[in-house]
Amino acid sequence: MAFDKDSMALGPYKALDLTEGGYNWCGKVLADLGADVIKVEPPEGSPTRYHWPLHSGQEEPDRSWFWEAYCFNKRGITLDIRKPEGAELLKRLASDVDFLMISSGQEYMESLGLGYEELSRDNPRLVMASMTPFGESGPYSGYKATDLVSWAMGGMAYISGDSDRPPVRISFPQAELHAGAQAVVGSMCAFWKARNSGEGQVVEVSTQVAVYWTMMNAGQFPQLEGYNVERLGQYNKNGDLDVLAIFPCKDGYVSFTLAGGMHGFRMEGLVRWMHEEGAAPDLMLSMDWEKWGGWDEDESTGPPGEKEQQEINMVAGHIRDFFMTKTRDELFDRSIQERVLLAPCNAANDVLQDVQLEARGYWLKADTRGQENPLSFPGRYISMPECPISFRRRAPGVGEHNREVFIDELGLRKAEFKSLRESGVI
Amino acid sequence: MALEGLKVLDFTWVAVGPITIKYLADNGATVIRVESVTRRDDLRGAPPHKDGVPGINRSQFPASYNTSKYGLGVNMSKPEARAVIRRLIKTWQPDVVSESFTPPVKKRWGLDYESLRELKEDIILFSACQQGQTGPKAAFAGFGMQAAAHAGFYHLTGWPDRGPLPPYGAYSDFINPPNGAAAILAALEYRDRTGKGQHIDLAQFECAIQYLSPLVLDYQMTGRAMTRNGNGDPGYAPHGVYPCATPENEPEKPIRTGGHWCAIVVTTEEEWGALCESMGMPEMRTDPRFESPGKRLENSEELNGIISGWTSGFESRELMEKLQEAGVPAGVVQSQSELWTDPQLAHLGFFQMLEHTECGPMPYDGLQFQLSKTPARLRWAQALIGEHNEFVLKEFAGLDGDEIAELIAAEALEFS
Repeated sequence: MAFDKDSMALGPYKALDLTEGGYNWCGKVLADLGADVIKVEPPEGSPTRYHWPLHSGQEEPDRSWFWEAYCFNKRGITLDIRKPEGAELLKRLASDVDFLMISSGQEYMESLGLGYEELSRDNPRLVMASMTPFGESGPYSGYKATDLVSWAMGGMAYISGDSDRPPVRISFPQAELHAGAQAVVGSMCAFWKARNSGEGQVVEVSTQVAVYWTMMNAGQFPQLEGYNVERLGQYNKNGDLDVLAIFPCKDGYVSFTLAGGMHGFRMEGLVRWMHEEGAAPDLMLSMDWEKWGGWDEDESTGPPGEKEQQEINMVAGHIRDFFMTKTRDELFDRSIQERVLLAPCNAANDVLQDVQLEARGYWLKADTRGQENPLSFPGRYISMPECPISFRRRAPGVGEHNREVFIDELGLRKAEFKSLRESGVI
Repeated sequence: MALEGLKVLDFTWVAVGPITIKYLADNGATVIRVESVTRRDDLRGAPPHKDGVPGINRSQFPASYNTSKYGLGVNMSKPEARAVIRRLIKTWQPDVVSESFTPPVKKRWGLDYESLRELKEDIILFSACQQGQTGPKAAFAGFGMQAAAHAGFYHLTGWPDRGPLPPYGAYSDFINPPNGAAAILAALEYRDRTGKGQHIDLAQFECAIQYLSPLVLDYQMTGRAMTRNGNGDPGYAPHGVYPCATPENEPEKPIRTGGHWCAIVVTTEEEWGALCESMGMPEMRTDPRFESPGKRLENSEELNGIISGWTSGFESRELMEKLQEAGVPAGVVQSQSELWTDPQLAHLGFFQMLEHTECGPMPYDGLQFQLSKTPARLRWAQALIGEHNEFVLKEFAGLDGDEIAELIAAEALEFS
């Protein structure tokens, strides 16, 4: 291999990744951190290879940007584990790895003779992560889910969206990515234990629970405050006030948090700027932002009433008018200076032009397989200067590393390999 | 537990840092969380509060993120406090120090990487912020409401005929922690192999973009920048949330104002057939308007109208059960009170009550994953600020009673 294994955090370790969809995130993080992660696909190729967005809308393997993004830095082999010879080969591969990831449920793996007990017999240190929609036992464990169903059942949909329309998800699927992230931290905890004790274990992740964990503070409202958090559209709650949180500007929208109390100095920065340009009304100049909306234990006044709501609506109106005279970049740059809580609402193209990301060397440039310009991959989710995340390889083609893995590493004879390929096992 | 023996000194606040370190604490690491009353964690002032009444120890918002941690209260503006923190680090030798201050504050308080290395050569410093420790925009301070917008999530949430919407809350705050915790454990493994610590730099913005990576790649090759599309999906229809009936025993407002909905998705022809059967409209299966995935996408508005008419006659849970029984992916759009009665979450034992020193039994968000042999545990409730001052300073920093009394006299220690 071209890179120095020891220079990466998980360089000496190996993983088999049998997951589909966003559950690939788990293996993607292990691969980024340096582990040798091998995707195991059925001979016809993983269904994730057809996950949108597709290049030019073509329904052919290697054209899914979803696959490209989340199988980045992994190797790939094909193996039909539904066939006994395939299952046997998987067992052999699993006897020498540290991590294994599945999203088909443990019961299914057990039915193929590939349950954790079986696999760990030859490899007691094995850590197996199993990601499923609802968990592997219980009344909903047999239920089907997709991103939208998980978003609904996990509680995020109910509180996202406009109050006059149905709840909404994020238009790009997220639920399985969150489950993959929970699986990777669980796997690393189990790996740490296995490293020290020699004993591995199973990590179970429910996607519904993973979505629950994106709900911030909402979950405990019925128990403690006696009501449910509801959809607020473009508004945030500040105490009992509804405060506009997304503002239009000259060339788009910004996310702006209007906060007083401890953050009052931030509002003062904005008022100063508005005042410079003659755009700050007396109402805003005279407000004591460190008192506004802040919570103070000693003077727990009653909840704000209609007057306060009207006042803050007027303030938001003035801010909105002011923002409409500025571009997103102008607003963001000055907000950094004034320590205002504001950032542009970006789309994918804006992110690509971001100067901060460029300056920090965020993008990993990869060849484009015959295309003209190199592709910029969001490459490094975290900076670890001693063992940095780097570009090792693009997502594998179908069976790209079959020979390497089965012949060079597992030691299959060429004739054996050939016959397994002919019988459709590989 | 899996991480017994690891030691972490946690200076982070709000959500990203505390949740990251919570994974380590719930899995057995010894974690001391350093807080201040004078510069308190914002979340201590935010709802939900015990009985709806605010108070520095009454919010469940930070509590869920700070289980299983000892509470140390200090006022870092006092030289005595900075000195005792140095002594704690020198004596206790934590594996990890975590923080989310700006670089100048870090330096002032002796928590920058170079200063920490003088106390422990191979220390791992974990820093979490919005834009990263370096670069022209490093000074930007914000919440997840900013990083999530900046990374592209607001643009992708809502309806095509309206402006962008936030997914509830500070969305990117919930992308970063598990991935950050995985990196800390990997850095510890690297340290054990090489003897080298390091300064980990987690920029919320950078990590959050990764959950939209395919769209960033797609844009480069096709010039398409995807935008918000309600609950629609480019490949499947029906794909939406549909209105359901209000249960007869519905509690009075304000428990619910958000309506009742069920998510329904069809991804295969089998599921399409099963949905038509369930609706008692088998003929719809071959209706020319809906006979293929492409046709259903094309006529999805019409299709959604027909389905909504049917779903309105059912309560959401009844409808989910009926459709799942038939093999159609469906799920109740659960409110928080429904999550609390969700039989699946109950089966997993998700919600837990923990005894809090001031508030008594309090409801906690449960574990994010289950380990089969060394299960994590919410070991104890969030500590009060300074709740464990004496224990921590005696046990881990080797102070005696007189020294602690001097620190109290100097107002270097704080208690909530």
